[in-house]
Amino acid sequence: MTISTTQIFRQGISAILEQQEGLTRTQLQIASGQRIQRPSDDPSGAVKVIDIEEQIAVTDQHLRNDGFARTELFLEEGAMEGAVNVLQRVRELMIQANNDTQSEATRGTIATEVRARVDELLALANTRNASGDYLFAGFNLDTQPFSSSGGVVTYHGDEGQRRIQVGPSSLIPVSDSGTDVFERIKTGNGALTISTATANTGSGLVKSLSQSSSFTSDVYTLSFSQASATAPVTYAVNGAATGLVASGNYVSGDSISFNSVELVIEGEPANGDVFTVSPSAQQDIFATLAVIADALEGPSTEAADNAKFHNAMGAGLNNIDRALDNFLRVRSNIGSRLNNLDSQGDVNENFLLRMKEARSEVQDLDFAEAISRLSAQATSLEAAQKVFIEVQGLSLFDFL
Amino acid sequence: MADLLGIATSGLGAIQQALSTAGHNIANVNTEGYSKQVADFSTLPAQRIGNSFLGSGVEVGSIRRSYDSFVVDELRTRSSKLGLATAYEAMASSVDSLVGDSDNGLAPALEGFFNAMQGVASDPSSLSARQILLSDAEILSDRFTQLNASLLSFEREANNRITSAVGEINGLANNLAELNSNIVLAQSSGASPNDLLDQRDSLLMQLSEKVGIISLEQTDGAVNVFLGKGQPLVIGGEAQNLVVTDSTLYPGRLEIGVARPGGFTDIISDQISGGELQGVLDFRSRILDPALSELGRVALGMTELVNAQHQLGVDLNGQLGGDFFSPISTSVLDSSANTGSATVSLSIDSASDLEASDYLMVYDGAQWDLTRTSDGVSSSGAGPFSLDGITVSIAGTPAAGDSYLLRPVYGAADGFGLQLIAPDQLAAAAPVLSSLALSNTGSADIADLKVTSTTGLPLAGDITLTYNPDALGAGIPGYDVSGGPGGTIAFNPATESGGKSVAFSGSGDLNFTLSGIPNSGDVITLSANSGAPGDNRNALLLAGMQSERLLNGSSSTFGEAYSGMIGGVGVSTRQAQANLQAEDSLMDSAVAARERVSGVNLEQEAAELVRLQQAYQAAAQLVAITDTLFQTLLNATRR
Repeated sequence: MTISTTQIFRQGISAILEQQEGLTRTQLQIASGQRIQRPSDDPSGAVKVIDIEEQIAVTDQHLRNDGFARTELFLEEGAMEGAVNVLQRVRELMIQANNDTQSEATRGTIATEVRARVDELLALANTRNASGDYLFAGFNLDTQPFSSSGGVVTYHGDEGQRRIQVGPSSLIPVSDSGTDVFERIKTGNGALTISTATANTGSGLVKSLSQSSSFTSDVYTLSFSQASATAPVTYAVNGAATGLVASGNYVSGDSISFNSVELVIEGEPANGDVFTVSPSAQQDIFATLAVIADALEGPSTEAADNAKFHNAMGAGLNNIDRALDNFLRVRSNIGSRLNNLDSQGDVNENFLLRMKEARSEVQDLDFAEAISRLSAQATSLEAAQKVFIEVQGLSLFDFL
Repeated sequence: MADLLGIATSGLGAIQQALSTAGHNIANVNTEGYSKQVADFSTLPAQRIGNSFLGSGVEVGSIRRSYDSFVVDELRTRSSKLGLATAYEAMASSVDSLVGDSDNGLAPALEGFFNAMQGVASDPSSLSARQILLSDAEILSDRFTQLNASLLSFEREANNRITSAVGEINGLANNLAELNSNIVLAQSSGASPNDLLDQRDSLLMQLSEKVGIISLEQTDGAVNVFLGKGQPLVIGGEAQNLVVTDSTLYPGRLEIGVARPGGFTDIISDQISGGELQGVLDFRSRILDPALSELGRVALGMTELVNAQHQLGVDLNGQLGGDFFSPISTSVLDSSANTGSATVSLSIDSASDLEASDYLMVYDGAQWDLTRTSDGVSSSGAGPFSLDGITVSIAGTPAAGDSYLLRPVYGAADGFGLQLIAPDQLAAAAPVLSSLALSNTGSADIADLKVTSTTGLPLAGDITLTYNPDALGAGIPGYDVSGGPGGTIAFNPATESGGKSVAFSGSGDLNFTLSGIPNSGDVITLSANSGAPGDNRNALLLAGMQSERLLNGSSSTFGEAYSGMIGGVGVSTRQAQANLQAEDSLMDSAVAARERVSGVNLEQEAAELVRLQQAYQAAAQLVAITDTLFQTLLNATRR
């Protein structure tokens, strides 16, 4: 078979060019460390890299959000810790004041401290973060949420709760509205509360109020009557909806039961004294504290006043306990959100690591393979060049 | 004796001619398209002397090309395919490099935009976070327009290539026509004009590189050349020139045409097959149009969907959100050849269902035929048409043959821009806020409050939901609704305290979930939310759009739609490269086949020279012998 001279030349050259092209490609890959230089090198790999990079960017952002959420939650937790401390201090003061060794004067001093604590709590409820936003204002975070006027504290925020995205489907709340924390607090024992009528003249003291789960919710009026000074004191309990539910002779310290509610009154209630048992309502903590301070400043020397004072303290302590319950609920919510952040953070870090590994698997060059490929290609190129020179050197004309 | 000298000189002459032929071969060893020539010796007519024929020497009967027309035809076919593959691959590779450069790509800008949106969601009252979002949105819109412009520059390159290819084709056709005339003239003498034939083959090769041709040799030696599907280009000594003309439908796009008598131009782009021209045409329809449409779909989809969500929010000033990105208008292009008076208009119904394609609408005299250009799927009827998230309406009277090009997404990336000016106009908040009355004694709760339309927004007044054990009649519990849609909502705490979804019609088409065990008279209030700087609910929804599959019939995220475009370009380019490689090696073997038949081998020619030299020496010796014989005769007769 005849092969033309140009064909021999062309074949030799194209072999060299082909080797050169492969060598250049490998060189580029090694220089950049990347297997994929252009999408056409590996279209599905290139798409994967772009998609993975988006995932990485999203996860990076979630980690940044995580940091932001942590800052907010730590701040809120600090405020809540302060608030709990305030209430506990007030509780101690109340127990101290509730002791009959205290006089009206010493109780007045205690009241002063309680009022100072109220201001402290108000300041905590108006805590701001680094950017000057109020923590407990809901969405309305550029307005001071709580303001006090004439002893009455008003809320100006809303009930919004800000949430932050820290995972593909994980939205963590980073705020609690002032209403939720400081206002939506049940009175009494959470189900029922008892109040002492201001007009009472006896020394009836509320010892306890409890109910079983099947109790009937109603406003019950417990009224005492005594036909004459020597007659026994009797009581009657009237439900606003349920009518007369209990009545009998009053014995100090005996329980009065009706509709699964159990009430113990001690002391000597006078004719016409009234106690009202009603379903717990919501009362904000500032109102609770104001009532307590007022009671501390009130009279307590006379037996009737003393009973009213103790009843007020008892009710106040109940209310403070409900507020503490609520504060602790908020704190434990914050704690579980922080836990959530921790675990979501771990998930994010792991995901990031996996994504980066996946990216490197698709995109990064196997250097060992590439370098051995490079040397193989270099050898081939050299061989092709040698062959070319050898073949081109052969000519019959040299012998003519 | 005289005969012997005659024989010797005939030998010398013939061998000289053969030597010249070998020399011609050697001299043309590097001439492109040259076919090796062979001198065929033949005996001169013999003389009859007595009873026998006496040979009278040699002559060169013909000098012929070493040629195989089948091999050359194959070479031309391969050359057309290689021309196509080369042009297609070259242009595809440029697009591949452009979109593959991650620094210029859309992906980082998309990520930046959504990250900034997350930043706003984390700190909605921060003006600086909002400002960062706006500047990231600017960057995104720059990327969209830049990428669109870079892709459009390939349209210009395609036009340039078409123009220059058509110019070259016309030049080659004219040369061919001239050569045809010369060859017919030369051939009439009976001899084969080898070098002219080689020149013509070479022109045909060059021509087939530009465009696929069919060549038919005529008996008079001329070659008639036709374009791929029968359009004559050269007939004998006449060339029909091609022209470049504006597309009647596509703005800024050139087509290939033929000038007809009377000033008409027939567009013959669809008759082109093979060669660089088809490579360019294929690139336009298979890579450029899909890429621009895909990019446009991401741009239009983002604009429509982000705007829709943004309008469901409230900005820092308490106003409902406006357009976040500038609305993009879609185009309907009338063919310049239309004669009817119909107006075709296009509207977007659902950005999620858009296809990355143009639509071609043709009226056949009785009905419309609507074809999706990306895959050729068509439907027909009187219209209007509703498909792929668009509605096409027609007004006026069309004429048969009228055509319209609908481009819902193509080039939309060019119109991508930011509409929002001030950071406080970003509607990060939701327009409705819920609250539970402090006087509630039950555990009524409301969650997942979401507006789904702008109808009835902002709320005209508070909507109050009051629990009533007998709301829907004695013993059928629920909420009495005052304000908004009014009426009642059935809600049974005994079975539904875990949560019940409720949807309003009107009042922002509110959706929410009621839960808990309310007591009679418990109140939930829904009120208009204005000026709540800490509300990030709409910003969260906007940021969440990054990972929602909102495009392509709800199967791709914005990022995936974009990476899909890059993947498409990558796959096409890879295919083009593989194709080019295959065509390259097919071309190599076609060239090798031709070289086997027609190529010059210097060794062979050297051997030929040696052989002819020896023959020449022998013939020269014959002259010397003749001379000796003659001298002998003279000496013998000298007295």
